[in-house]
Amino acid sequence: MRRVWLHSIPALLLTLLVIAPFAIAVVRLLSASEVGLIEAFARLDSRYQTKDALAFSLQLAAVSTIVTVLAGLPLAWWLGRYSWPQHRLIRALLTTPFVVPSMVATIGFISLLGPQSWLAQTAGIDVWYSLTAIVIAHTWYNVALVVRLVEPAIARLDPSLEEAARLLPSGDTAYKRAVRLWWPVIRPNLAAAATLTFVFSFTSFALVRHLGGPGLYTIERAIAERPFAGISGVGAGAVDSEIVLALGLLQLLVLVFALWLLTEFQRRGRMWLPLATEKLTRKRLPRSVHRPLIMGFALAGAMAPLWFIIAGSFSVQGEASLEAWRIAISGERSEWSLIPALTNTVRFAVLTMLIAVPLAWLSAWSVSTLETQGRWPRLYARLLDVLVMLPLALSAVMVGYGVLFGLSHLSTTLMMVWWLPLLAHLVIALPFAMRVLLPAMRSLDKSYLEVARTLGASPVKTLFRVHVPLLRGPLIVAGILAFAISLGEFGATWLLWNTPDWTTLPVLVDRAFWRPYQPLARPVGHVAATMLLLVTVALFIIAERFRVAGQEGEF
Amino acid sequence: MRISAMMLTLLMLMTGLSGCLSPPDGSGDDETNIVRVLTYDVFALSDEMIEDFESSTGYEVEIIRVNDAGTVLARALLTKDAPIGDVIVGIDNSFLQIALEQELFQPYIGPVPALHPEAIASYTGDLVVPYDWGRVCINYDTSYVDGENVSSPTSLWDLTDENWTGKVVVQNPRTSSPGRSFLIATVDYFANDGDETTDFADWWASMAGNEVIVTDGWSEAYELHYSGGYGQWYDGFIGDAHAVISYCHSPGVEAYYGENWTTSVALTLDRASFLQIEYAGIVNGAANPDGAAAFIEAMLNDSVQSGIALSNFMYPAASAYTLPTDNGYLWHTGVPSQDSDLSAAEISAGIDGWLNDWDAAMA
Repeated sequence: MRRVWLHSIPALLLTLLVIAPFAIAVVRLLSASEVGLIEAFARLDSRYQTKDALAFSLQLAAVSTIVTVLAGLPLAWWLGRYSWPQHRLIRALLTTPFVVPSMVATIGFISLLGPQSWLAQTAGIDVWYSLTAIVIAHTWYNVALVVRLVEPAIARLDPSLEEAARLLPSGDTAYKRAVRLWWPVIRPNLAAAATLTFVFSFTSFALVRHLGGPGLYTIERAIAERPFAGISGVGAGAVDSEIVLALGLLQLLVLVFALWLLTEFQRRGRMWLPLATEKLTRKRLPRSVHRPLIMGFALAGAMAPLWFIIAGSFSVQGEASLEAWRIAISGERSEWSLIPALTNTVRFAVLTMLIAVPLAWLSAWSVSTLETQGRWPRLYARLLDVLVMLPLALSAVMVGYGVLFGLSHLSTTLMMVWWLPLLAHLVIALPFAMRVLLPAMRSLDKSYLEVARTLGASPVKTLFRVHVPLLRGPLIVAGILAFAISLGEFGATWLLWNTPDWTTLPVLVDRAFWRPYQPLARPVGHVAATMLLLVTVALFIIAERFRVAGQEGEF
Repeated sequence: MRISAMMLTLLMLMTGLSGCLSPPDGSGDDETNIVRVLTYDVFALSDEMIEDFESSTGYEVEIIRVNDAGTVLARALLTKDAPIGDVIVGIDNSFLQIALEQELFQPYIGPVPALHPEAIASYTGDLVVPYDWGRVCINYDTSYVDGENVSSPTSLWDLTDENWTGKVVVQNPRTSSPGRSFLIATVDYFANDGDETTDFADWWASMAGNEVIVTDGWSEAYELHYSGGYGQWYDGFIGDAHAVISYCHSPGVEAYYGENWTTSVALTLDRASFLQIEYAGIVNGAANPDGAAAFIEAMLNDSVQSGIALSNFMYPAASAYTLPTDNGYLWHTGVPSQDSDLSAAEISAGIDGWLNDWDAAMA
């Protein structure tokens, strides 16, 4: 407790970054909406876009979660259970979709499932503009979560446990072992994967915007397209404010509940299990056709949308062409210039990483230090923990509104500052970085640090020569996660988008897809999506190299 | 050793980034030399137009571009006390009254060319200047309307019969300006159709019952759903709708790009079209009103006005120019004998109620 002021920095920063803007946004929306909160909720039912938004969001998220778990569980089981040829590659390919930016995936699915696709034209499978199309996309995304979280639990359980179970009457059949041994082992991780899938599907925006088509409004979509939200003295402002306020709060409630469930699952599921190295536990792949076949099918499915994204960039009106690449790289039309958008995207991502990681470090350090101390520090630690997690319960669009109203409240000139989108990216990335760093910080033996201090190392020296090296793995994972989140962020950036100087690759893709009377517009969208995909995959390959044993369980 | 290597990399990263860290805009320049233009996708503001303006006047242009026409007005209102733009381009006559009531503009006292009567039909003051206009109406696909089983609509009510079930696509008037324009037209159309028992809300409710497709914006409706448009080249093209809300001159644009051939035609019923006029104006409290005035002057000059039919796909405001005759652009353009006839004041007073009625009719 000697450095009390240091511990107050994260709380202060988080209040400034998250709490204050959100509070200002709520106050502003309330005052512009001209009706009370109850009335705002009641009126949702009588409007075109909002009538079914909550029900549809819940339905979409629930179906997406069920399908994702059903599809992901067998893959996670086989991958964890057996040793496959090219094991690392298979795992990497299966989990690639999760890091693909939503705007990129959207483009891929238009080519894969859209009305002009082979599936629709030749195979006659028409799922376009339906719940099914969005569910397929959400499953494609989140199977990676199930594999990533559940596979290690299966792969690293000490095999002697299973051998012992075989000998007991309560574990003498495969079914009994599945129920009594494997289910408890994977349950906490599976529950976490399912909850996260629910959260992501519930707030998905780009996919619903492009794949959902007319009439299918989720909360996120219904609140995003409200230009007059927060504007007082105008009729449209009152209606838009009322809708954003009511739906935004409903969304917040659902998300808070889901996240509470997540922490409960993680807390209750925490149990000590004997672990073994994956080399010992994996069995030889049985000689059967169905496993490799299904796995091959899953891999093809994971890669298919990505293939169409790239292929689409080399085709203009059905003819092979390099014109889209030429015009995008040459930058001769400013609205389609690829290089500035790439620079903007990378600039935001690098800065998000450089700011979010130290901030998450500081917060995680405060929480992990204080929660081992007296009653008040422990209370503060809990508060801080909740504070950092709060942005997870705010959708990207709501973060966008918070930044927009929070900043314009201070001064309207701030609305044009180049780091406005960066603020939103930071708020969104921070909880993820924190989620990676906090468990690592908790499990770190603090005596290393004390020894270093006793031996006369300065605090700075201790930090950089002991603390940071000890947590090198989680730090890199946190950094890459923050980078990736900023890279693909669409909802908030789109909402805040004020000037071509802020155009990131996802925004460029979206704009290219709605540009009228231009045969080249969509191919250029494909080029931007391909570029974004390349950056993401490069990052992912680097991340795979730093995957440290013991970190697999975290995202 | 490893730590210092890491620190070094970090340091190199930081210095490498310092170039990026500085704000991308040239804020070091003389403030009065910059003209900030708040706009949306007004394609008349092309790279060439901006370059010409900069080289001929010496001003430097900073574009503030937001997602749609509604957001232009919303951002202008949000930042009224300390404007983020000097000139606003892209507020139309359905929004103009709000902007005027909120005193967003100051007078433009500069040269204005002779204007089409349509361009000054809604507003004749000096606070804003029209730069283009067009009529919003239904377009339909004549390859669907064969004259035997399906005949050309002679009333908007025809679109509620079973031939058109699920085959009409409209834009949500809350998110799209053509959608909003057409909603206004329907108010006037059904108030003057000689039938006292029904109004526009009844028609919209019938359309909802007839499975009308509602999109957020024009592009999605026209490119992806409308069978008579150029959208067939697009990945997401569905072509399930044979009637769409677009502009009466959209068939002309189709013909222009389709070598004088199109199956699309405008439904030019009396009062079923809305004359939409787009304006530019100098922001009240602008940091650079002179630059803003120069920019408006440039939007009205010959090179912009003569090209606006192909850059922004609208009629030019200047009467010296109109739609080109090449490839049947003008020939395929529909001209109703009477547009819907509501004054700016009537629209301003009624629009919020009509939007609520629309919401209720569609819900």
